[in-house]
Amino acid sequence: MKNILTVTKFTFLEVYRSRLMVSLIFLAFGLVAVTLVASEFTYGASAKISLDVGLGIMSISNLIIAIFIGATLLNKEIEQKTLYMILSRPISRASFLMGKILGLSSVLLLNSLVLGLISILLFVKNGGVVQNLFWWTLYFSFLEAFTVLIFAVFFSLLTNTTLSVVYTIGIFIVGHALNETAKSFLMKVSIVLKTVLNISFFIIPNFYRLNLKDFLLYQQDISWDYLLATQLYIYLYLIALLVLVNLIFKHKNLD
Amino acid sequence: MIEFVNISKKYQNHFWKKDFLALDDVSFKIQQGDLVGFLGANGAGKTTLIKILMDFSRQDKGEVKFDHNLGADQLAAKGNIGYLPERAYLYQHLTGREFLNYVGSLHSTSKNELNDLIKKWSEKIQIDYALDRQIKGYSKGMQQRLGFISALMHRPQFLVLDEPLSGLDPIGRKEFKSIMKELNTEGTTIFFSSHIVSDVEEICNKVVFIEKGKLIYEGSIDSLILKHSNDQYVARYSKGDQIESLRFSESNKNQMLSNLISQNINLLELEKEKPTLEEIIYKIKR
Ligand SMILES: Nc1ncnc2c1ncn2[C@@H]1O[C@H](COP(=O)(O)OP(=O)(O)OP(=O)(O)O)[C@@H](O)[C@H]1O
Ligand SMILES: [Mg+2]
Repeated sequence: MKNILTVTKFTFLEVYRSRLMVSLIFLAFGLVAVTLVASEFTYGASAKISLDVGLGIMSISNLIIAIFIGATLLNKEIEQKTLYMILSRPISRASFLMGKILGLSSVLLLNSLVLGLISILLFVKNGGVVQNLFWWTLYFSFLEAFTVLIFAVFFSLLTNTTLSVVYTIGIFIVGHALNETAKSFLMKVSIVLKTVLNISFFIIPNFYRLNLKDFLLYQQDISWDYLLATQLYIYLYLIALLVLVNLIFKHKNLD
Repeated sequence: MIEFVNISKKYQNHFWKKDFLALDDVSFKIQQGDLVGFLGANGAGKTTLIKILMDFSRQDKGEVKFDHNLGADQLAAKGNIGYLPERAYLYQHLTGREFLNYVGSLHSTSKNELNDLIKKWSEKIQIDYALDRQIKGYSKGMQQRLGFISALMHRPQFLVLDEPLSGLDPIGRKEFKSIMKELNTEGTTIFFSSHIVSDVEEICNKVVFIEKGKLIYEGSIDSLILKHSNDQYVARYSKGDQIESLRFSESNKNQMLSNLISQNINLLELEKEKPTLEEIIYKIKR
């Protein structure tokens, strides 16, 4: 466990020293500027608009960071062979991988927290009232980015960086689209199609379920059942995916 | 300590081309306390074998056996192994000190102990002045020095070094060799690859020699040299103010010597002619 956290620490340090952190700071300033401008032009609903924009920027940047670091950082260690220096020590490949993933996701966590808190501050400044659903939205958005991150790592173990970026984006889009399809008229009439679609959510994650923004902005309410079921689903999904990634890494030729 | 048993490794470069056999049924043993030089030309398969030993690369056939006193399982054994790859693959954004802390803390060394070790070795290997700079600014030799420290800092019982002397200046080579010799006398088993036969001859007691993936020789250097030496002797003597030498074989040694002595010369030395390891290797190859 100590070794996992050592890898986490130095993975975080690597990202921290890279240009990514500078972009994060720019993004935060950009977010403030855009939201301020946007809320100036929308009389009345300014609080809602600032929240909408803020959360939007947060989840998009989370996704970009997840895809980018997921597809590159482990791959870089394999290609540049820096991991030889680590795996020659008493640390298993599984622990190294976990440490690496924890380090990368701590970057996502930081991004979610910084941009999320800025959004909420602007929201409150514009007269909004903070409710619990806000934290759920942040948390689910993090889970979504985390899932994307693991997918990027998964593809990066199988193919090169460019293709893993493409595949990860593909998974993300399909994961969203499947849910839209599920609502369509055709699905309502055909039981077979509906079953096929439900099975496909075991393979491709239903990202749509993780997006609580609409609930937050429009319904302002959500059922506990939904929150629990979605968490159960995504955690089971993530465990299976992590086991798979682990297996691939364990058997990978690192030469 | 370590045994390679019938290791074979193929590389498939293009799926329509024939597989390339990088290692062909290689078996040998490294005994505790040995200082083994691993010789072979470029592309002979040295790095490939070392990567298989470290479990980075997987062999197609055969196995690597670890002695139980290295550790109960492979993970524990790695705590007692020090490894230096062909090139020091270092994290460029870290400082030298951060890097040593990173890899050092993966062993069960306490923080204070680790700091002491870093101080001691960086001074000994003369990289202490650069420890707080980022590695991306290091020269090749400096990186090699840092990698060397990271391999031996945790006092491993077994050191595996892939061309540890490459990229070093002459003084550095000498220092590294004397440190390896020193560690070996203290009980560390060392296995290192090299192209420079004289380096191996200078410090090793054993040599493993491979060529095109095949094991050519494995054993002590002395017996290899003995096996390949001819029975020629050289006598050097001074005659007036000239130094001259005479070559003769074992069978007429006594005869020649008494001839010389009767000529009233001053015999300086009598030596059995020994080929260098380099000459033998060159001979075996042809
Ligand atoms: N990843 C790889 N894919 C394909 N072929 C490889 C790979 N790694 C090594 N080889 C081949 O295996 C052979 C042995 O390579 P290896 O690196 O083990 O040689 P070496 O003895 O370490 O040489 P050098 O002294 O130059 O370091 C070479 O012919 C090389 O081309
Ligand atoms: Mg090599």
